[in-house]
Amino acid sequence: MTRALPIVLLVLACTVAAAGCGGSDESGARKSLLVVVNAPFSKTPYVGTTIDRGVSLAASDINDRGGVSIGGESYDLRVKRLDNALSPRRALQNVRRAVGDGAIAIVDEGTGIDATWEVAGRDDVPIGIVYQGGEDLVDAQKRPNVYRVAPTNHGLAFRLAEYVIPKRLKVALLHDDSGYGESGAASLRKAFSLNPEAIAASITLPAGALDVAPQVLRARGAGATALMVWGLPPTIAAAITAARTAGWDVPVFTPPAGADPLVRQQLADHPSWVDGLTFATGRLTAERGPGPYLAFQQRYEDAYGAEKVGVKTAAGAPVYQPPEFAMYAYDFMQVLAAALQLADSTDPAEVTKALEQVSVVGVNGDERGFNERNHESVVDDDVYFARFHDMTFGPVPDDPLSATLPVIDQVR
Amino acid sequence: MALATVALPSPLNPLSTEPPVGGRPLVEVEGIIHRVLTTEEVTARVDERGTPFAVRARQRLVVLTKGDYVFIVPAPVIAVDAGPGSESSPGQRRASILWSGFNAGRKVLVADARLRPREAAKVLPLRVEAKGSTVTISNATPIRSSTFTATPQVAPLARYLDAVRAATLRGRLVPIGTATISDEPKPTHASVEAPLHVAGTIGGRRVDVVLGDGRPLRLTVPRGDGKIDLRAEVVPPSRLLTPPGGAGSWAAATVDGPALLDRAQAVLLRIARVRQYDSYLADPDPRGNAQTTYVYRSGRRPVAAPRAAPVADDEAGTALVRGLLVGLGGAAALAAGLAVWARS
Repeated sequence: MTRALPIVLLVLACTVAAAGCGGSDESGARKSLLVVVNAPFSKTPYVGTTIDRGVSLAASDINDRGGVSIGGESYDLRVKRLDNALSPRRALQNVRRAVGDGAIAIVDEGTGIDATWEVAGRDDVPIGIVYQGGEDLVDAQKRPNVYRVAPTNHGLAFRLAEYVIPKRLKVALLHDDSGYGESGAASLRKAFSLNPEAIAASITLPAGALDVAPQVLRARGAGATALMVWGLPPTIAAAITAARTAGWDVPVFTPPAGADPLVRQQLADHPSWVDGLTFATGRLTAERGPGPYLAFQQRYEDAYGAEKVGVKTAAGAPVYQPPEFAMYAYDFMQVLAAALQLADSTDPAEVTKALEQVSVVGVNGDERGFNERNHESVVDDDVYFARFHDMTFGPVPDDPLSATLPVIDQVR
Repeated sequence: MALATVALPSPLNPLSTEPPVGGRPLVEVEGIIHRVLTTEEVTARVDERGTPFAVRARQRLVVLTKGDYVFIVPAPVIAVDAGPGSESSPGQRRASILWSGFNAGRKVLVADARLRPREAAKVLPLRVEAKGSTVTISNATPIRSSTFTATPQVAPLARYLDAVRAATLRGRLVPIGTATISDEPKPTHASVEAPLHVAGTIGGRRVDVVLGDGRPLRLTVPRGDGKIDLRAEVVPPSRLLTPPGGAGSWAAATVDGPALLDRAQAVLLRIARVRQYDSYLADPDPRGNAQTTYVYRSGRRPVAAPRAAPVADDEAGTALVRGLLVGLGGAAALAAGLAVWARS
């Protein structure tokens, strides 16, 4: 009789616990909340890894500060990585799994959001996109659980148009048929819609094709005096290769993918081909100077080591990649922590709503936050242009914003 | 007799938390204070009794400092949109309007905000009351403020008052001043208002009046057809700043010391009050010279739709079912446990 009483109490305790548990679980001394990283670790490892590292570093910093205080209890943030392999189907499976595992939030590269937002939305789990900038991915009214800390395609495309059109270049718009390429092409079409005379051709490239010489030749034949290539890093490398192999020294403009290490790795045998490549992306530093960003970069490198691009300058110095997209992932995590604190709840619905009401000072000193009308945290004004020279890049001098920005050292 | 130098009231310090509505803005988010030219138009729709039932505010900011900007303007916002000519779109939170971006030289930001009437109306400068056959408009800005009486040195104080007058006439920032006194200051209080210039029509009758600045604070007119169409702007206390007896300056006027000190404080406190009501929504530039026009128009208060019959809340229902299931599970577990216990 006495042996069985504890069994009764245990059963009752389990029943009560089952009623009270949310998405958290016990881990060590403190409870933890799960954040899932859904990113292309296998297909574009640089993107997947940099997002994961930004999230993990933020989680570690937040946990070191004592975690997130909710209802008088401290919670650690725990990170799980799921590979979407740039496949919307895999992304959907991952999000289902994340929701099933009780994730408090999903930090996402952006693939498959058209399907995944709804699955996450049914349980009010917020998704923070930190790489892709597709215009339709984020909509505060229609997709209330989707947020983004990354430059938008709208901002990138309009800034590119604003930069290129006054130069009186005839632009060939080349995009690949990946989701990234298609959404970028849509934004470019809108951005150039008022200046159709600036467009020489609009051509689709097969994503992953090693040889796009026929399409580049077509662009040249159409009278193009500049290439704007919106695609995955291999597509950009292939387009540059095709142009330079043909002896065509045409200026090339790209979105942030142009700065992916893979582009330089694929062109490592011909470093001069990279020279002049100009890409648009979000600024790394803010008004208050490079200090905040450099402090983050130092902490990132202390944790993971400096990210080698795998190429060298003409003088033989190895080139390192600034952790730009890790910065966005890190910032989203800080905003998430602020929202958890404001919501004072582990209910994802409360956290999703609270994300609209908080701001933090981001890694680069810029404000990061969302609001009820806008779930974008990188404003279009913050898009700048950088140009490659000797395998490293620096801000261009002929754009008002870019001209104010410092060069971030990429050689040690 | 010992002399002491005392500070006169600051023409810059607000005399109350509001206005601006919702308090002061957050303007140093990124460590930079921007030069901003701010103009605002606040439109209040009033019902047949003169009570505001809808308030909109349009704030136009011309940002002049090159660089990043982040402005968080407190406001009891229902909804906010970009206004005409805006080069960016505002963000919205429960109690603020947000702007952020990069300014390459000059940028125009226009927010068109619908405000929660109860919170917005209590900060309006003009009260309209329609009763019986009359309409009374009154200056709603008076506030009790601390002052003091003493015997000052007349000449320097008169020169300072002339400087205040000149700055006011030219629309410049009013300098902060002091007075040298020869006796113990005695604290006292005074009611100060932001003088209000009101023009327009009430019941078809033309109105053009300044309420305050030494004039009456209210005006009663026949109701007529009851329609209100008024524009109100706070104005500097130019009447109180005018030297008496036709003198060209305070230095040339004959005024005794205590009266001069009293006048200087009355003027400075009113200028501070004017500055408050000149930025109904907070001015992101703390050194700025915002200007606000208040518009009052009659309207028909929207009739509330009849309340629909209560509908079962899905979530509440789900929670109830979950609770019942947990309860039943618990009871079953308890029964099973008791059975085991009984047989052991």
